[in-house]
Amino acid sequence: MAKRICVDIIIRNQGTGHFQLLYASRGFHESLDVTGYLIYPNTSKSNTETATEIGDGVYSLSFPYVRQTLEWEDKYGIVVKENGIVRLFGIIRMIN
Amino acid sequence: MQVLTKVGNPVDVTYQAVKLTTGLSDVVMKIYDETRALDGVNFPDVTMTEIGATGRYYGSFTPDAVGVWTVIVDSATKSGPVVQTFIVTANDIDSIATAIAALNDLSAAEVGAEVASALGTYDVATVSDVGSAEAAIRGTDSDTLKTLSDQIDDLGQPAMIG
Repeated sequence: MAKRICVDIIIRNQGTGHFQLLYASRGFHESLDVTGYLIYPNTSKSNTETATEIGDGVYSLSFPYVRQTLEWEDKYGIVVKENGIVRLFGIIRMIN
Repeated sequence: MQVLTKVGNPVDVTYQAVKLTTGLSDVVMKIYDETRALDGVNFPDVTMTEIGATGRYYGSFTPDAVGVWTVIVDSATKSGPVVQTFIVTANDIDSIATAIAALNDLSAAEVGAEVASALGTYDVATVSDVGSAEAAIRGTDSDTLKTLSDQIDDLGQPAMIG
């Protein structure tokens, strides 16, 4: 049984070039190898980033922000893996 | 005295005359069948023959039914009646031994054939059958029960991001 959770996140671009996301693993499992990458509006993929565990199964992921279009809103995809297994897919709407 | 014998087998009867009198020609054996009756047609009186000149005489009969048979032997001129009882059974030691020996004549191939036939009758599941059933239970992703259990546990807390 494969289960994919799809979420929709809205982030306002503050021009810092990076944004941070907090990720809670399934069942709040600790000591996992949590990685993730972005899917840009042009469907290219970012480098794979490794999350830092904060504690209690909560992890921090940081991605570089690269504006891809001149639209007032850009959509990014995000994929998160636990120990190499895809656990989450989300849509990030970046308000420029 | 009672003697055990098998139906259909000849029975020898011996008689010792009074004072071992020799040369008697009227030593007669009367045979009473399993119903305690004289059967003059099938079992007429038997005149016994002397064994040499010993004063002992012999005769025989073949019982044709299971039960208790009785033989009375006497001489008209030198009376000294003797009664002997025969317990006639369906089997004797020889026939039982033959039956026991016959129990062990099955070959390994015959035993195997019987077992295969019995398994076929009861439609026993083969290893392949069990494997197919397990595959059907697991489904296309072949999840084990442990995997399913872990996934059910995780349903209480899916991954979240924000």
